[in-house]
Amino acid sequence: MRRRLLSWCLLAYPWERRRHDGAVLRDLALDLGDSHGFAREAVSLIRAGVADRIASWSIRRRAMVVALVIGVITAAALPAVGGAARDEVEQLACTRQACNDTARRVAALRKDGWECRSTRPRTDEVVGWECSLS
Amino acid sequence: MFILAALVGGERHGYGIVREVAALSEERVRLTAGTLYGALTRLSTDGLVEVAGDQVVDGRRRRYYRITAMGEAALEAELARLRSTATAVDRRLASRGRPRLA
Repeated sequence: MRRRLLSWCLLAYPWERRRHDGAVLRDLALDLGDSHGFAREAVSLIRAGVADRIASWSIRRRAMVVALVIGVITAAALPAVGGAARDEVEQLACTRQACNDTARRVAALRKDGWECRSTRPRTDEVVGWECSLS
Repeated sequence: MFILAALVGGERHGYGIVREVAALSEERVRLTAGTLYGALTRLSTDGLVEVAGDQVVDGRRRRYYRITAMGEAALEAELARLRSTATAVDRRLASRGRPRLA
């Protein structure tokens, strides 16, 4: 069972390496697993195998993989960032007789790129705006 | 460096190298199969160690390695570098009134 599992871990290595050294590597991991712990050896084979595989790639291929990983991470992070931006909302209200300060605040927000729209007033006396930054 | 030192005494297989490195490092360094294999591959590419043959023991395949003349020279050069570094640090500590290292 352990021998089979270690053989699976060896799949992390490139085919050439497995063909040439797979049996020796697996049996070494079995020997060490008996004294140091089997899980540790299995993880070590996977980690070293991936490193060996990446080392065998050309520089161009490595650059492409790095660019792809960065692209995936950015694409995954964008909705979270956009959502946080869309969450920035300010609601303002004032009475019709005393709206100068609020009007100046709305003008300042619009100047900073906010979108402000009038909201339906609750009463004839109250004026409201909802400003959001997207 | 420990791997090269482990091979100075003669040919060893991978498991023997791991045990010798653990002894030399007073159990501070415990190599795994993946780490040892990667190191031996690099040392072999650099000409510092070479494969001495394979044997099957108790149904398990073991590969033996030995240090080359270039490997011994590299080990001696590294030892000289470490001694020089230790001397320089020791001198600096002594100049500040601290006792020198043994």
